[in-house]
Amino acid sequence: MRWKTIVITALIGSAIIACRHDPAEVVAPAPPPTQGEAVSVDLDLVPYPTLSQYRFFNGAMAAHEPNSGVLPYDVITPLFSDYAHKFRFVWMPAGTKANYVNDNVPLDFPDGTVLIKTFYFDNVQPSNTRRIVETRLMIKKAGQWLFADYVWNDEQTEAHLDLNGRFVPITWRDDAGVDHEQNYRIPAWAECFTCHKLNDVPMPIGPKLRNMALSVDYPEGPREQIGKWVEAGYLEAGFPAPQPVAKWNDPDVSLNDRVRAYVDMNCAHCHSEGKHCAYRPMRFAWQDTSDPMNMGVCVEPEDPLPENPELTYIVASGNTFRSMMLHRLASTDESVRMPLMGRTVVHQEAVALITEWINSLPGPCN
Amino acid sequence: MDKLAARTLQLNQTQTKRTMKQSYALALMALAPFARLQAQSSCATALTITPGVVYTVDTVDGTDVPLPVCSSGGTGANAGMWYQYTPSSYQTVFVSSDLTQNGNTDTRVQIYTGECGNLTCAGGDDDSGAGLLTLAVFNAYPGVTYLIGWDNRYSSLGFDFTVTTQPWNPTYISFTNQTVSTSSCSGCGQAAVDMNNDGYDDVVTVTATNVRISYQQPDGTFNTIDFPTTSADYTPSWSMAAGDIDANGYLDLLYGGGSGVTFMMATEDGTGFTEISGPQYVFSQRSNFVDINNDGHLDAFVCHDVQPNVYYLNDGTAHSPTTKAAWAIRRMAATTAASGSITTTTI
Repeated sequence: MRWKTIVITALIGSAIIACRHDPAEVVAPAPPPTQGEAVSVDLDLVPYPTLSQYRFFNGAMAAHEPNSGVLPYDVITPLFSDYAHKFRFVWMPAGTKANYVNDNVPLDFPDGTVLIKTFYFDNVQPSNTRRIVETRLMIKKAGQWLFADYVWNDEQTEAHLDLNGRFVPITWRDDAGVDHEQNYRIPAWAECFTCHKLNDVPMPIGPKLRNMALSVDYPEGPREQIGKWVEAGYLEAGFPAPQPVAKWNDPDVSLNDRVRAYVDMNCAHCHSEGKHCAYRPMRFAWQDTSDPMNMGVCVEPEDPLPENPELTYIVASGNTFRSMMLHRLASTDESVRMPLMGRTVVHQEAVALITEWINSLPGPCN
Repeated sequence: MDKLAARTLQLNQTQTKRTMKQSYALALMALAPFARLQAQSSCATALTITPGVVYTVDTVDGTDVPLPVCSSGGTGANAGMWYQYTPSSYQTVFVSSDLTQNGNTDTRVQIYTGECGNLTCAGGDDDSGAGLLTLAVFNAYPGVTYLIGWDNRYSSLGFDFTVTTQPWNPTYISFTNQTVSTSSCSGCGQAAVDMNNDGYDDVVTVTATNVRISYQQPDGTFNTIDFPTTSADYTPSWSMAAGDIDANGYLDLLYGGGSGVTFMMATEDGTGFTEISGPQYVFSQRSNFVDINNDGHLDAFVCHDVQPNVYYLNDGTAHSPTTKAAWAIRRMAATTAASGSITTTTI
């Protein structure tokens, strides 16, 4: 149901946006694919210069109506990306499928797989319309994942390959009518790689089965996602039932598990073995955080902030004023904030969650 | 010498005033022995302490919150306990809750001179003792009353503390505090450097749209001037470096941001800055100016956190004022390497 709503909203939004004309756009976009034209992923030619060349979507591309074989997917707890909304899709070559490895690593995808993630905002000012900013692809070619980022034009009719990174000023209005002005960051290749790597090899983060055990609204209706993947021929059957992560904002889940889920998706891509920040002591992956010490509870920071020597622990049990983690999550200063990349504004709901959690921990640290 | 004599006189006068106040407080205490806790609850009724004695704070619940905050840890306390000490000689004073009986109590102290309600920081400490205990050290002048305010930033639990002293010879070295108005923002850069080549270090703080230079004068005062700039593509959230790239006598600035590098070039007469920002993604955690290739022209080196480091080579063509504009765009080449390949781009 929700999926239908999104598609319809996108169609209406794109119809409005398509009426505008930007004289700076001199390259005529490729004609949108029509029904019946198959997805095109030629591994000798990817990444293509434009997103439309893949033919992932039917009709007006902004609507994100998936072409045959393009399967929408979702995750239980997502990465926070400056309040951007996301569409996620997967596509695999005919006759190929992913294999389960274990709960703690992404699925083992076949060559030719494309993971598609579009970042957009709704109620963007001054027109109060949807603005699709970028579509990030990870394409598996000869056993290696490639990064490709497509930046959408103002007309929302085409997106062009750009791995140099840039800032996009965006003002969006929330449900309470409050405008949020931000300088959204489209990542450069090196930024993609910093998070999406394991032992310096590019790697997806989200599609682990433990993070995919949820119901998703497909065009034909809601379905349990993992079963749908098997049915679609995108996942080899015979895997053990995954132990799902918590939904970070589900009030019916224990506070500790909500925090574990949040740091798993927002921190573990850097703070884990073999990842970019492995030299720090925190280990934020879901399988590691049953030990509170791996979340920094009563662990002294190796990198104290000269301006804030009172932050004596990464997480000070029962004491938010002494907790480095909360300070970094609540900061927008580039040299202080965490995560370092992918966030320029404060995720207020996460700060509230971590605050509640720290206050719930029996203190003080000795 | 005259100045010192005058200051001593002034201090003695202060001491006289304080001594009277202390006597008054002591008299009150003698009349009302149960008033001791109350007497510590505000700055105006601070208890005079004797060095070497162990004092017990039962609970930090005085209504007068020690402000301003002189220690780390920021504001947030809502109660304080007050004491005062007036040395009779030059002393280094140690105010300490770093006592074994305090266990893992979390204490913090602020130390002031001046009048209650208009206090000036003289010291303060949060965690210099064991664990989260406090050890404040400051140099004290004879006859000056120092107000000691313990606050409850982290905990209101009681604790013991002592004040101990040792002689201090103030002739070793002395500094004069002077306040310089600086820009303040998230991601601002700061530097102390001689911006105009007059032999005196200046104070520089920058925001995305402004360079504020406090020029140090021969008499040690500062003359502050704001130079508005174009909005810098990258602000110096991670690093700032200063160097005279074009050898015109006025230092240029390099802003190292989380996503790129901006140069602010001082104009020929030092009355403004021209921005040059590179298109390259650079996670520039640290930066510096140095003549990398030993050709006599200052180059820029920028540490890149997630890719090979970046450097900007200066070929010296900027040294002619007539070619400066062209040079600004043309002569700095950033060489970066990614995944083993070398690319050269011009900004």
